[in-house]
Amino acid sequence: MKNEECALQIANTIKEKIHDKTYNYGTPLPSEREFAELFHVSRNIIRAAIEHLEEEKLVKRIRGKGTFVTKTNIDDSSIHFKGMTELLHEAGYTPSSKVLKTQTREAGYKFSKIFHVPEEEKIFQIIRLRKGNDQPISIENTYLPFNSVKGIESIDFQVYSLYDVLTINKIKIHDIQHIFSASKVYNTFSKLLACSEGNRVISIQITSSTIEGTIAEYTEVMVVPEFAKYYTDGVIRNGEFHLSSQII
Amino acid sequence: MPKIYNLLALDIAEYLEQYIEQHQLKPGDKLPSERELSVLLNVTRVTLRNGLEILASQGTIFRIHGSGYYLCPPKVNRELIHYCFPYKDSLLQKQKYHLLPLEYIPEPIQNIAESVFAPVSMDLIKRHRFIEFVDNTPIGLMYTFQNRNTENLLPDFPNTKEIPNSVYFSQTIRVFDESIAANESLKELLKISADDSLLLISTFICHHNDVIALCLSISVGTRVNLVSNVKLP
Repeated sequence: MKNEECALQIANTIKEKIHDKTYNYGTPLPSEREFAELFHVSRNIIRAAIEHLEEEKLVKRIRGKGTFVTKTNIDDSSIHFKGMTELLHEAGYTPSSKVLKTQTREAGYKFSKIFHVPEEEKIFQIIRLRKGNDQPISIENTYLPFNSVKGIESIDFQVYSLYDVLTINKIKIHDIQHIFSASKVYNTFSKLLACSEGNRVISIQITSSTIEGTIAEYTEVMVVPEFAKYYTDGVIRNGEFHLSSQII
Repeated sequence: MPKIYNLLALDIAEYLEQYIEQHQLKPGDKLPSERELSVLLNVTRVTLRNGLEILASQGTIFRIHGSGYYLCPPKVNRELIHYCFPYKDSLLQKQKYHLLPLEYIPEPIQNIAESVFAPVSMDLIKRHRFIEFVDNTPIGLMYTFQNRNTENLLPDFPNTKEIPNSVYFSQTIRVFDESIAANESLKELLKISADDSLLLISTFICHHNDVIALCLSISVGTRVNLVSNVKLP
């Protein structure tokens, strides 16, 4: 059998195992070496097989971490907006996201008001640095109710987008409020965004809620001026605003 | 081991905001001194200042050198979709908003408008210039341009009563060029300091594929929140 046919056949076998949930959403696939042993073929063939799966967007390869199953069984045909990642891709950037900090904390004064929960309620915080071709784009500081997402502390947000995580937990965003404003960055933030001290940025507060009005997530974003368009540009038709992209 | 980033400034800013609300400070009220606050939060003054800088740059507090930090008036909320039609903005109407005609126009604004309407000469473009206030504080400058041939499509712009469904808007928000923002006349008109930031909001009003009118606005980002609500299908 030719290598190419062999790779295709292996890809199909793995695909079946993704569908029957032997390899489940959110988990890494066995390594190339393990697959090579399992199928008695070379690692090159395994690599080709995984490339097929990647093209079908069933898996996602993360350098240094492995290959992850990204296909969900939830129909997401309702997503009519483009993700930020997609938008950056179209513009020729390879987007990446680095998690700077995650923590579980109490809502406290500020977030008890935002999430309409008692101050002692647990919330989960993720601070991420978004880059395109290694150029810093934004810092996104996200909060979500701790109990809304199962096993939130063990989710790798470098692999899964916030949207993936909400979708798999059957949280459907219905309304998104954006508040655009301006601020400046200093110290750690200006260093992370590779700009000078006191550089101006566009700041955005995003509140996403479900149809029942539950706040699903709240994010504060600082965007460097060069990348403002991916976050702010939109079209208004018949009194409704349509953002070119959505951030989550 | 993962790298640890010093993000303490965010926690300081959060605490200070809480302090302001719980102590019911009013616009113009003075915050405790840096020394008092650093004792209260048990942080160094350098760390404290990082938190204060965040609040100053987002327009929550302002500093008077040699005196201290004071609370700003609350930010003005306005609807992004009605930016060039302020009297249709339900958020703005709840506030003491007014506008006055203005002479001054920054050169880049003039240049953008000329290039958008080129080759049509600016003589054929109907223009308005305003400065906007809430509670007598300047919040922005608004420049509108409309090709006279299109007045039937969008009558009486920017005071159009009913915005026809045949027009749509393409809108962008940018950080307004800092070198121009440092311009003395602009600083004086808008009463802004080095802590303030300006945004340029451009709204291209289109009919089919033509731009029929344009609104270029300079918004004081530290005084205004641009609110937009998106419903997902």
